[in-house]
Amino acid sequence: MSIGVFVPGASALHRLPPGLKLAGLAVYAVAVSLTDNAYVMAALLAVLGAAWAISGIGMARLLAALKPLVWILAALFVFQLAVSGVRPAMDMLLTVGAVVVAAALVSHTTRTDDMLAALKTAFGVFAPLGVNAQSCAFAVVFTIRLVPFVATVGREAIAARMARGASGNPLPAVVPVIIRLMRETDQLAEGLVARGFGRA
Amino acid sequence: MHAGSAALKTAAMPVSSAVIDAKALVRCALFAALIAALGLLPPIPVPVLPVPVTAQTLGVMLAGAVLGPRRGALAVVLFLGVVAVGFPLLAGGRGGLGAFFAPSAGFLLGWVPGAFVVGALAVGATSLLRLIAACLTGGIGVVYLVGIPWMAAVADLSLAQASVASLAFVPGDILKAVLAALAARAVHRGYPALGA
Repeated sequence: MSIGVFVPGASALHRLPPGLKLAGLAVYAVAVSLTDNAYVMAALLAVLGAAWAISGIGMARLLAALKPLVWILAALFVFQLAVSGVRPAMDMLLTVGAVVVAAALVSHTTRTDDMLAALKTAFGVFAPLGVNAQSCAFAVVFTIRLVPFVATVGREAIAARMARGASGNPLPAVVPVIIRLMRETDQLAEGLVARGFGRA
Repeated sequence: MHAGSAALKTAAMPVSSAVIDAKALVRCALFAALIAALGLLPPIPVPVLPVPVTAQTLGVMLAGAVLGPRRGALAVVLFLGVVAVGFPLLAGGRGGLGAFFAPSAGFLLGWVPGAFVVGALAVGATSLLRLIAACLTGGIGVVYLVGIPWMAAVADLSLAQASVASLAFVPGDILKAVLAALAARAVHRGYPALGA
């Protein structure tokens, strides 16, 4: 999944305040999942298409964001088709696709630093309760950024096992993947502290 | 370096705790991301129910068993927070606040105390049986304790009906609890845990 990867650009979408983009994404995701009306859905998809056109992010990146979900969506689509019919199956597909693309648009057009600053401001509201806004913001940004990294490391481990003649079963790869990830994120944490993190 | 050696001395002391804090923070984010990545594995749809069996609960149990109660629960909170903002990280690409209004949302919210209980019971556990018991209690017991009444309330079912509907997930969840315990033990052996 290629969410969490910034693509440089100067579009209107790039220049929107990151807080507004995150809030917009939250509202959009709710609107898309709650609507039952085909016209409303069409309008929401049109908004998304316009945002994509403005962002200047190519078709290839859009497809890359959807690619990891293809098999899951295909399975769920067939299942919905069999159990509830064409309309709910299409509805599921469009809803999920729209939210994935919207989230990819936000992360593709928002620099990590800017997202961090916006989140820090948002978490600052809870500062009187003893919440460390900077740590919270960092944790959220790391989570978003680490998802594609974890997926990549997992895929590499499975591919490596298959190259050695093992089956494509992901389960035996879980432990080495977790240990490798913990080692790499520990180094990341040491690097952060060396650059002054947590001592501000 | 106008601050001189005094500054160096005061700076040297808190470094280790700062490193531990930073590592803990990044590890919470890592396990939140791990729960998300496990959602990319193909789910197994269960007839009748709108919720597929996914590998994500495996990540929840792992978070508790590897990170401990507080950080494990924190990792789950992080994951759910990022989902709530609208990132489609639930299995099958679901995301957004809408996911928290579904009949199955109680199971998601139950992950938080679930991971905490797994962690609390797994602290210091060396025997595999104790780890499995921790994963079963937190990952199934506590999660269902939140999820079933929630489903009953939202979907207008009786508690008994909601419980029966959830039975379909129990075999898969037991399997995941055993896997999580095995994996957590291997991770503990293969990589040192963080200090308090």
